[in-house]
Amino acid sequence: MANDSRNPFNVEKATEIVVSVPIRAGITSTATANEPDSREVFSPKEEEAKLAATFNVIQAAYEAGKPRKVTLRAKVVE
Amino acid sequence: MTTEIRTNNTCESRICQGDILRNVEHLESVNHVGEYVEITKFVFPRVIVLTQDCDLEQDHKKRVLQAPKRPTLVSVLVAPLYVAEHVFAGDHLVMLEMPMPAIPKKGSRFEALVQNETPRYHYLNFEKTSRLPPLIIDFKHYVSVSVDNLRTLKPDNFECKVTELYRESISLRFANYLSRIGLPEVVEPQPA
Repeated sequence: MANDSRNPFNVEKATEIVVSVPIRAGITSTATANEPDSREVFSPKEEEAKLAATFNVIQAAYEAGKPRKVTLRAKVVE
Repeated sequence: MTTEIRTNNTCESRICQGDILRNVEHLESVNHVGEYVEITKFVFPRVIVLTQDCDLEQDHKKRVLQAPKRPTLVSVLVAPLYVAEHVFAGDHLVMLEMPMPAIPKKGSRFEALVQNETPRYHYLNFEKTSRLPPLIIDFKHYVSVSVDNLRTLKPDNFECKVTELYRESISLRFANYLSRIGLPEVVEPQPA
């Protein structure tokens, strides 16, 4: 995620953001009647959505380090 | 090789020079639009306090500790701290609609900036144990914040304090940049 060895969880320190989510779609199930397979199997579409959501979280953390402008609008009730 | 800035995590009750605070707001404008009031503010994820420490200490004594209260400061001068990577990308002020030129991470301009040889910028490379990424002060950007507002938000928004030696270095470079004199360019007369 972040390639700074000092603090891998600090997104701001990252010089490049790489998101890696293992693609588990198409895993051959090894479950038997007595031992159900607990592994989740995602379709490629679900994987894509998950990947996008993960990226959005990281991107939001990265963007949070930038100053922002906020406009508030209030009705005068005087 | 850049100098590593030392910080202190002890949050003093008063505002100190060199304090790094999170999510500090600066009121940009208040406009009446018909029956509405529009308030626009900038929210800076991090700022560093630039006001002289002796002034802050004196104000604290007179504002908080003594009676009758006679505060001496109207506001506190702070400079936004930008994430260095955002500055190099030139997109650190994109949300304020102020695109800036990128600084390629190779070349003399980049080297001068990180070595603090560019008068306009101060590069802060924090010690390895710090949670902070490398940050940059742009001495063209500074805002004032109400003393009471800053005092109220400090307990929750205090990040750390740059230690004395390093904050004096920032203060000196800021003062030098602010007091620079822009001399006119010499224009050679055109031959007749």
